[in-house]
Amino acid sequence: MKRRFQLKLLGGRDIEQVHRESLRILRELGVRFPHKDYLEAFKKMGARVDFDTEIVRFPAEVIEEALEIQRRNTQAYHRAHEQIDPNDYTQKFFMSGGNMRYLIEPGTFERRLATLRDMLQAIVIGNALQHVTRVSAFLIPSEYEAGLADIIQLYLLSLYSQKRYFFTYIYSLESARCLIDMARVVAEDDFQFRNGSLIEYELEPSGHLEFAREHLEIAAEFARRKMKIGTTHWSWMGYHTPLSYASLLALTNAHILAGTAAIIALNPENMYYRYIFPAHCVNRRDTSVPLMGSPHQVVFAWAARQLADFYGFPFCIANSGFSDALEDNFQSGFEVGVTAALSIAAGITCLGVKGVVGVDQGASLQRLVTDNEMMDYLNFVFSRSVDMGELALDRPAIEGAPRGGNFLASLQEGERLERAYWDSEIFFSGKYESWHSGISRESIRRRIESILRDHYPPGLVIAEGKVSELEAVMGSHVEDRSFVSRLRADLHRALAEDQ
Amino acid sequence: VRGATVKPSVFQVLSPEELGKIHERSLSLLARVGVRVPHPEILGILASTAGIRVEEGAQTVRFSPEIVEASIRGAAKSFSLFGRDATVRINFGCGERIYLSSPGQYAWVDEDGEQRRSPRLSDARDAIKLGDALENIRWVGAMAAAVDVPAEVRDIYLTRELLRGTRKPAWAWVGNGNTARHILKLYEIVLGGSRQLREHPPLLCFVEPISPLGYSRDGLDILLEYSRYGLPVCSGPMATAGSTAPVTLAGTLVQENAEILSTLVIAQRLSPGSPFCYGGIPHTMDPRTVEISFASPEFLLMAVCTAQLARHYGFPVYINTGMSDSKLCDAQSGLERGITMALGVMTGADTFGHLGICGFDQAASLNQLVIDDETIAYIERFLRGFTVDEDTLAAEVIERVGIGGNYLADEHTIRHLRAEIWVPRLLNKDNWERWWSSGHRSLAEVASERKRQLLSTHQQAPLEPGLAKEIDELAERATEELVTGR
Repeated sequence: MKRRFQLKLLGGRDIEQVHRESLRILRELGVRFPHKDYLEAFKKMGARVDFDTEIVRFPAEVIEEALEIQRRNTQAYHRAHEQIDPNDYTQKFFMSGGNMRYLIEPGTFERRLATLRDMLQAIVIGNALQHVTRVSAFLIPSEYEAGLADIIQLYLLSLYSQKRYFFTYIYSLESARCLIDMARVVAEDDFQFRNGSLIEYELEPSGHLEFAREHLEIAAEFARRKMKIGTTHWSWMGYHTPLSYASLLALTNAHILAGTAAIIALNPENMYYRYIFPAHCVNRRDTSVPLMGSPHQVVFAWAARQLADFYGFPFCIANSGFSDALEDNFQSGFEVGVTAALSIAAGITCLGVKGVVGVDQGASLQRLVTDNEMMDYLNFVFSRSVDMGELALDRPAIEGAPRGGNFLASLQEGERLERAYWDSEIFFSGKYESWHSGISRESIRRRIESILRDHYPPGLVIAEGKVSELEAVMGSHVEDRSFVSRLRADLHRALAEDQ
Repeated sequence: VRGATVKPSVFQVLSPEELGKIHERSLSLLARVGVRVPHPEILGILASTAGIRVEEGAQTVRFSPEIVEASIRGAAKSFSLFGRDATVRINFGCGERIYLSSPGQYAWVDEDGEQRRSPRLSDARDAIKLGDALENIRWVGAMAAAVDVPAEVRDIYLTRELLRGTRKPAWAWVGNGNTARHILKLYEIVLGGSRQLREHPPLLCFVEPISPLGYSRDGLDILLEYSRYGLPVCSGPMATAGSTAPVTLAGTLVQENAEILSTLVIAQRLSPGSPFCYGGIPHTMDPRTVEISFASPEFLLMAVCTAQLARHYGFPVYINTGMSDSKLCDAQSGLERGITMALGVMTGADTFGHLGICGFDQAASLNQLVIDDETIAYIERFLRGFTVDEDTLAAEVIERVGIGGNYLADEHTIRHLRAEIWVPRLLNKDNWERWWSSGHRSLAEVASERKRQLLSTHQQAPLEPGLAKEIDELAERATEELVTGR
């Protein structure tokens, strides 16, 4: 894949060595898959399966074959549905998939438990922001049992999101079954039902070289319905892998390759594949969390892009454009900006979920709006080539201007100005005299208020009949019989409140 | 063992054909329109050169393409600047990255968000001390245009403070030819003579053409003084798209390139073969206020292009990245500084900055300088890359930890911790509970504390007392000549 910017970290031999080391780990150490269907499918594929320990050792050919099938499926998908130009560096981003219990208040940075109304507002803001492509309800509502959050999220997105590309983390097997049935109601056709735009599962290892039984059950549910599955490993260098870049690449890649084989094992028609490499470094001050905004994110992103290219997958996701800062300050801007810019320059297709503060410490609409503005800035940089046409070179203006004169009259040329300038409603660029502390923060607050004033409460985007069908599906899956009526009543109240 | 390292100079916007087109248009502009050179002595020198057409009445000079090309070929493409005792040096045109603090600002911010004030000589002393202490600041600026020193000799006193306060290469803005002469004498005293000044140049001549297509008399006076010592010359017009250059980026690049090439020709006529640095610092303005911007995406695009143009000619390049239009230590400032610095270093440029500035030359801030130093460490860590070998691939370690384990306490982790993991001094990495309960201090507060700590503990290497006395006496004589005796 030829990219305009030839940003590379690893040599060709390095990439091959990482790949070989991943294959060696899978061949010699193996991975535990505590699920009978998977074990049997792997055996048929040619893997060495120990049914007692549930450990599967993969010969290289099994992995290569799984990769080849995914490549074929993915190429066909991209040809038919989603063209990817390796020289298009502009970005759309995903909102966080909805595992956040707290909302962080703009300005004060105090955090509080989230409510149903916060979720609705997040959907409204996500729909209004130009660079958000995949919308989520962002939060876990405190009024409900946490295990129901994913069902509530998909319900709200189905009812109120104009953008029909949703992101919802799946919390349990019971939820997964309900979400799949809900997606069947909402989907306009079988393609939309299966392509992951409404609901998607990402199969992840639960620990070092092992997957959890429940996760495999969820994946199997999706595979049975021929719904698209992805795989990834949220790995932290120094915790899930040894503390060296090379071993992180080899081991994380091994987990991803094992997941890839699992996807193909139960559904060789899996629609398409994205190489998702959300690697981090452990935080040595608090080893229960990783670092989100360290310089390592750039290294991981560059290596991820090279691995994805090595395997022939054009869409590559890496976790960049994050920060460890817990308030919106210089640190948040710097860490987000540097890691995002350098990852985009390397050809990362998507920078992971946005609007998150620290390591899932809370969701912030302020951060989401800032992330959107940053993406606008970077998209301007990466979408432009400098126009070298005769008009742009503008010999008459230069030669005609008096020496010591100026070109201010060109500000009157509206179309040219629009092409040449990036403008920001949020970032301040005036003189010291016209500045006062907090001016950017106020601009963000005004932006959020303006969106909510214009779009809140959101209108229904599906027919009433579909709403009833969705509620019937939820009622049939959730044990608490009062859940649906309570949700309906709470929703009514949330929509009636002033923004 | 193989190193996976990042190779800057790969971030490019212009194709070779486009570079050629800008060059060709710049040559045409210099031949047809030329530049204004308001300096009779220099006009006289230029008039005697084949390929240069001087129109004395209009003070206009036109250059043939041949003389421009010959000047490009003739100038030295790499050079070093030395500190006061030649033990510390920075190298241009060799792949080094040089980060510099501001040579001088006309306003001063003590703490983030406070009202700005006029700077004093004591502020410059603090700035120099801090620049000396911060490991990533390799070229120390005086940062403060001290208003408690008469304007006629301000740069002389600031240079004296630089010579006293740091062994790193250092600079302050130079006002005119009169002060330039005294500043060069200060260096002669400290370095031990004019030969040492030539052999171990401690400073370069920063020429700032006045866009469009002009020069100031003072700037040319300084160039003439510095050229007597064959010192390196850097040309950095601040052509601003839409106000002092065409609104189109291509047009601005053509004009700025022509201005830089004109300085090159003049400098090479005054001191043939002297080193040259391409100062790629075109800017844009905010069309709502007509104020210059130091961090717009268009500015970043042009910084990339100027780095390409400089490399096309083979010159080292000085770009103005790592700055922000924000006046505060806020998210906008972090985003703009971070993005422009990160993509700036990927152009393969030599020099970045100026650091420690609030907004577009709105003030200097030592807190900001401390933060900028930390951000450079962050970027340099990424650029360092990593090693792929048997030890770092850690196959044995992975087997030892086995299925379901973790690596936190493994010997391999402890052994590699320092080399692999960059640990920030200022950036906060706490979880929410720890951050909130420890007072949720802002980055600006943390930076301010580090600034105070460095200012109270850092020991500068003193200038030898005899030399210190001599430069004091010279500064006093300069005051008598340029202020008292006026």
